[in-house]
Amino acid sequence: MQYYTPGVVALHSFANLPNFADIGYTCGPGILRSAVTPTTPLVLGDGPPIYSRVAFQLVPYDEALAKITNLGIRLADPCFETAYQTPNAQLPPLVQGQEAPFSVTHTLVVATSHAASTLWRSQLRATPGVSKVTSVSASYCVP
Amino acid sequence: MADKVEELEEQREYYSEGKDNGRRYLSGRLPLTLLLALVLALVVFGIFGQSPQATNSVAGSCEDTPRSYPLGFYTTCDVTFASYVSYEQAIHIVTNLGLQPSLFCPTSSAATINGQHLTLLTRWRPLSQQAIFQRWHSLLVYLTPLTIDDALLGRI
Repeated sequence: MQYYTPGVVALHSFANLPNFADIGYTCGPGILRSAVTPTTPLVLGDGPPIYSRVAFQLVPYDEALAKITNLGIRLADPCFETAYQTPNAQLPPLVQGQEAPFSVTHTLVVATSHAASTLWRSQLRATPGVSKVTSVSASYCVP
Repeated sequence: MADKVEELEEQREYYSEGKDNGRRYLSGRLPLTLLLALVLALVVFGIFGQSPQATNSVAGSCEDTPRSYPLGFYTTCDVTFASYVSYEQAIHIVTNLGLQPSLFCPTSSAATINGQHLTLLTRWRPLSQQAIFQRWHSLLVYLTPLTIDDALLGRI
């Protein structure tokens, strides 16, 4: 099955792209564990996603997406993702984009990714336009 | 389940309209080369892992092959957008498909300093791709658990 997406021109591997370092896209420098302080942001890496709800104030949807993306945070559907990990479980409806609910609640349900920082929660709270960050509780998926 | 299939069919029809506008397609499937991509990613990781300051690694492809992999697996691919699409609109488009703009950095790397073999943790950096987008009109994205593929279609 193929999807045709307006606005998308091509989709391909990176083999033909030049070195990102040329334009400053390098990972952060390495740091000795002994030099790490509570305020040193490190790459979070692999691990189960941590789900949260982020409330925005006077921020359009597209801008909210750019803000969370900058922090390595992604949109999430905790109910679907949890069910998908359970073999033979009935899957709830999949939610990808959150534009419609955002227009009503001004919140996004998000998850950490491997690219987030170890300080992602405080980084989110300090992001201009973010008014609240709350955990998504276990009862979130109960209809 | 029937509702979901119907919804996906509607989605497919909606996206098909883009073809009529002369735009090329975004595949919902991934290549058989995913495993190769993973191997490549690991190799790249290994190579850059030797350096205290690594380059973001990129690997993978996103065309026409089913995928099946566990939560937490990531591969990256490059999505190029039409000239009229802004950076924020581009993020909107890919996240609507369950994809996520991202760059990959290892959590640690090995380094030899003054003859001592050390493990260095990677300091986090912001992940904005404004410069990449400005230069190539592309976003580097990875797959998330919300990406629809054959494995997922088999469950709904």
